[in-house]
Amino acid sequence: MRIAANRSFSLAAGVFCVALGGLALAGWFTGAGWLVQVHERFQAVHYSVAACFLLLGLGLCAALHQLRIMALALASAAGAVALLCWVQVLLGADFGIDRVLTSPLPGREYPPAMSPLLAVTFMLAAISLALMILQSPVRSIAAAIFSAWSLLIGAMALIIFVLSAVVYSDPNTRMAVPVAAGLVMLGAGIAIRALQGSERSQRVEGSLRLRVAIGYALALLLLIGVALASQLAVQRLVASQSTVTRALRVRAEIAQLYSLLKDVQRGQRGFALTGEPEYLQPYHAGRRALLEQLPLLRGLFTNPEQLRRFQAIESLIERQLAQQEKKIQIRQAQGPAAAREQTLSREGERGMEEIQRQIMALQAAQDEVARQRIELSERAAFWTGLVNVGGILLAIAVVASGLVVLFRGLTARERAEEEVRQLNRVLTERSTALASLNLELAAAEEEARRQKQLFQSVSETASVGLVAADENGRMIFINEAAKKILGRGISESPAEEWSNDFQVWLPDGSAMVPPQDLPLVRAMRGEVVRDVPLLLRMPGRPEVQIVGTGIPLLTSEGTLGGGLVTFFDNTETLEHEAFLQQLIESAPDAMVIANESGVIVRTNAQATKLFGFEKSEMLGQPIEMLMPSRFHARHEGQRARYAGAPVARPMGVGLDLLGRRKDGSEFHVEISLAPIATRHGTLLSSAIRDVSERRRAQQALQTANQQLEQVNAELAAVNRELESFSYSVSHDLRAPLRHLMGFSQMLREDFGPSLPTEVHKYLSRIQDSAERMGNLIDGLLNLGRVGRRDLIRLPVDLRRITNEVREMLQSECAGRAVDWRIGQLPAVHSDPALTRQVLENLIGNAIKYTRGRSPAIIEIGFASGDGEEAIFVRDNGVGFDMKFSHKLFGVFQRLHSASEFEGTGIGLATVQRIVKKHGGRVWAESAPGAGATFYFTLGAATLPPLNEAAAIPVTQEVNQA
Amino acid sequence: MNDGAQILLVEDSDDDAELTIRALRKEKVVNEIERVRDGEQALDYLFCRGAYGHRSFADPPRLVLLDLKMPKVDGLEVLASVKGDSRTRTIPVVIMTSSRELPDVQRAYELGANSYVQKPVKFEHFHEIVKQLGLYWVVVNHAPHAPAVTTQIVE
Repeated sequence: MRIAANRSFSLAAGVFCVALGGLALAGWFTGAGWLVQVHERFQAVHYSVAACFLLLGLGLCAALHQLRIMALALASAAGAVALLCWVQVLLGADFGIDRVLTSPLPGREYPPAMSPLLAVTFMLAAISLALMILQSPVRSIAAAIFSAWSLLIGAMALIIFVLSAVVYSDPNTRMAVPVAAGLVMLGAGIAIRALQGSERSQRVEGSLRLRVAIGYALALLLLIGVALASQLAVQRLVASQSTVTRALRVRAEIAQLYSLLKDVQRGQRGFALTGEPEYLQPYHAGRRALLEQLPLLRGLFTNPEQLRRFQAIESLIERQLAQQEKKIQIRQAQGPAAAREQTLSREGERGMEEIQRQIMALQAAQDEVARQRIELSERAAFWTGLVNVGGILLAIAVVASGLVVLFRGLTARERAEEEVRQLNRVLTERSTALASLNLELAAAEEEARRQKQLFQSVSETASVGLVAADENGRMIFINEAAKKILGRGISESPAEEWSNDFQVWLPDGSAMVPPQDLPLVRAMRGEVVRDVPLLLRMPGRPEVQIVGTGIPLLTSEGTLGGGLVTFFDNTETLEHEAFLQQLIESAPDAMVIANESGVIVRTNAQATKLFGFEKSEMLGQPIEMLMPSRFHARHEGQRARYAGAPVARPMGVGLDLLGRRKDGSEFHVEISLAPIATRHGTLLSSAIRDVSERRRAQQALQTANQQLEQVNAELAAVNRELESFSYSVSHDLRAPLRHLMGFSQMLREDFGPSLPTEVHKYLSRIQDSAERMGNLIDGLLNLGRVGRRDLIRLPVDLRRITNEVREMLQSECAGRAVDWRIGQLPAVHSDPALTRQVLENLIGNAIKYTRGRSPAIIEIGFASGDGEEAIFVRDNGVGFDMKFSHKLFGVFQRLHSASEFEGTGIGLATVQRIVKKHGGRVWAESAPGAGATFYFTLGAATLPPLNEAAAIPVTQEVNQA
Repeated sequence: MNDGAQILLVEDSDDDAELTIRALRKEKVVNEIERVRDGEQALDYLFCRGAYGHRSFADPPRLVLLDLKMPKVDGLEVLASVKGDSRTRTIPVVIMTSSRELPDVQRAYELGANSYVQKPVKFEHFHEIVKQLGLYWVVVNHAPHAPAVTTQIVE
């Protein structure tokens, strides 16, 4: 609210300045003199002053609207104009800036340049406005200085105007009234805006602003009062001076009155004495003047005393005049004698003397009045000066004290802010310190609580028994574990009874422990006893083996304050020990367990048997005693390495391990090593077995194996040779055949028409031979491959393969009637590609050898034959004589000539090789002309018939048979 | 337009080479055939060096017909070099050989052969196979970065 109101006032001040400057400038431009000089009593507003007002007013408005750049530019422009004017006056030079805008108005005196006072004021205004715009920290101070200054200057100008005094009539300091008003407004506007300050110090500033405002108001009131007082004083001065003037005038008039009266007297006397009429003329003139003067003079008297005196004089004068008139008439009427007589009567003389006397008195009184008035007037003049000078001094004092207040306020604000900051810092520091102190305290409490809790938890949850006694031999503490192990609670008896109370015996149970030897009792004497084995034999409870440790308790002064014994139930451990030894004894091998230093710590009866040493001879000795001395050094090194990374493993893999008996004889051993982690370090367990016998058998086996390997290697070499042979055959034998066929074909194609028929026939023979040779080679290679390749057994659907083979061989049956009879076929587990080759060969043969039969009957099925269930392929072809059946499956063996039935003599050899490779058998039944039946089995792989859906489709590429 | 051969025939046997070229020419599949006698020459040709130093990688043959059993550098080595080099990897290579021993087939495909064909003994078959290969790889197949083919096809 207040800020908004302040802002409105600043804005109003700005607008006022803009209007003032703008109107004056407009007056200068348009020649409207009344705009430049509003009243004839006012000074004309100089247009550089008008320009400064316009620029500063606009700048203030722009600053209020946050147009900072524009406001800054306007303030700078105003400052520059003021600076130039000032420099101009200082140097007495003329930069011509006054004529930049306009020329002097016609008929008007060219106005004096901007006064230096005003120039300084405008510079101050520009600087404080700029600082305000820039939010400078010193803006308040600058604004205060400027506003005080402008207020002073403006107010003084106004006072001077009001007084119409001539004190400042110097043309350099004269100031127009609107300018003075504008300065006051501008100062107030900038000051209020700049003093608004930041919200941070609003509180300090609020009171400061209030004080400044009150100061301003007081200063204004004071100045107005001073002005009024001056006015009154001057009025009084003027009034008293006019009374002085009047008093002096009255005196002069009175003096004149008397002289006029004397003139009248002289004229009347002259006439009376001489009768000369020329004396009558001054008489009448004097008389006339007297009669005019009297009422005039009368109106001049203000003093009633003087007026009364004057009226007395007046009546005397009137009487005197009346007498003289009478004497004049007597002279005229009675002649000179009467007149002389009349004149000599001295009556007139006496009247004149009376008047003179009266006038003298009046004059003296009047002189007194004048003297008093002059005195009064002088006093008034003195007071007027005093009021003026005093008032101005007072105004300066008020403004100065306002400034002091302002500065002190600003300083106080800064100090207050600094104090607040300081206080905040101290507060922050103290809060931090307090917080950390609190934290430490809480931590300490927490620690104590934790310690206590820890002790409780430890003593109550410890599996170790704790019993404490004080220095008087009284048992004072026993924990839960101790109660459980001992089978009872605290004994109230003296220490001498404790052995009996708790039934503490020597470990071998031979006698009760003497009370003075109990660990607790020894601890109470100040001894430290460790790991004492004891036996507890409480009636009605199983015996308990314990191990106790006693330590003395010390008071805070360091004196003996009782003792504490800790003990644990060792029964199970001892039982474990016994169990372990039994376990080791039960092992079939000799067991030797050594510690990390290689010292034998445990062994069994088998070890005694194997090595011939007694158990007692081995325990505590280095393990190397059990091996030939030549291995000692090496073994120690290996033992150390093994201890670094212990894992269970056989020892010395691939090495001949030798043991040494007590009698020095050596024997082969096999040793299994296993690390056993214990709290006393890692033990090494060795299970040792005499393997002399086994080694002998192994050696024999190894020799046999080596021989076998040699044979295998030879076989593999042969196989490799065979392979490379096949490879060469595949490449090198086929190529010439291809060329043979190719070139003979080219011969036909290129020279066909010109060749005789015979040549064609021969060429055909060549080509046929080459083709046969090609087939032969392929067949042989296939046969070789079958022998070399590995079997891949998969479920095979024979029926599907059969159908596929039939399809493939369809071309061979072209133009023939073939009756296919395909019966139930079993599912088999065989090499799909090889199985297909078998069927290809057999079915191909059936088709070939039924040539000439119509219809040819080819039957494929599964049946018993020769005491075995087998797959068969039967035909009604030419058949063969069974006496040659032994040759049937030999390579290159044929039972028919090539001209009768073409063939290579490799197909059935291939079939037999495939079947044998499966572990099966192939055989044939036939008679010449009665067809043939070929049976085959596929070893264990032949399965009962299965439905087609379950079979895996066979799509692998199959070699040509 | 294409100064290089469309087919590079790598064949040590003059007889096989003649039969192959005859088959390709006869069927008017392709006329531009470069024949080299061994693996070394083949590599010189394909890698534009030696006697073929004037050739450019930007102008590869559309097909390499590669025999396996050859003196000096054998076919599988040529295949390994061609398929192992980013500049020649995309050239289609068809192995055409007498052998059909399984290890060869396996090895050839492992090295990245585009096809493996056994030369049949029977000339008609041989003729047909060569024709089909030429048609497929030079005419039908869309080779990477190869110029368009303008060969007339007579079927």
